[in-house]
Amino acid sequence: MASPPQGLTTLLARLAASGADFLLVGGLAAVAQGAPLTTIDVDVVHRRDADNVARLLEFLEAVDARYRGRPAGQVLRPTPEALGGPGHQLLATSLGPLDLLGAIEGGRDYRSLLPEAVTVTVEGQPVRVVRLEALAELKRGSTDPKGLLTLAILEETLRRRGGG
Amino acid sequence: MTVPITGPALADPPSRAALVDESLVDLLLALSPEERLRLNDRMVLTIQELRHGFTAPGPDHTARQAGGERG
Repeated sequence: MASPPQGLTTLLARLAASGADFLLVGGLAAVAQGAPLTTIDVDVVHRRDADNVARLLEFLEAVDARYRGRPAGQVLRPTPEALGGPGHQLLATSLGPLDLLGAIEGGRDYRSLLPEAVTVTVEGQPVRVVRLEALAELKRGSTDPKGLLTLAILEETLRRRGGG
Repeated sequence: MTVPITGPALADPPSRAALVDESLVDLLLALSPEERLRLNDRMVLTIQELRHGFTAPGPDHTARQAGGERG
């Protein structure tokens, strides 16, 4: 994996500046809210309407987005059809890895997660982040050891913050 | 991929909670969201540097090869 020259914070801020609607989820959402985790990619759930997909594709082109894990020399770019569906687009960009998720656990999509979001400021840009309580709730159905350990960390962070 | 900053998972949920470093949580909660994200960036860079350090030839690798490494 190539070193992102500016880090995930800049990738997140640039995505927010693109005007596309998305919610930060996953490890970086937990990190932003104080959980002691380290994550190497940005996970977002995006709004899948055509206008938002068009904005996302414009941004993705600007950061040279292509699917990760492809054989050398076989570059595959995200399409409007892929971004319009519930699947997960695992991309490499010039600013670092970016996962665009149409839907996550329990089929939760942008619209259903939006009420669970808080707004934080990153490099002057407002970024919607799914609340720690909701991230923990999503992990409660997890059966793998990593998911359960992450749940323990989220719950402890909530407890120390006084919200859990 | 997300890496919990703690020890290995245990089967017992109360024991799992005890593994979380409370002082680290308090330290992170005292930062702004952007500061927490920047800290993650620095951790990622450190991980990548360590990974590169383990996979790249060491500084004396070329010299050993040029001199005929005997082991």
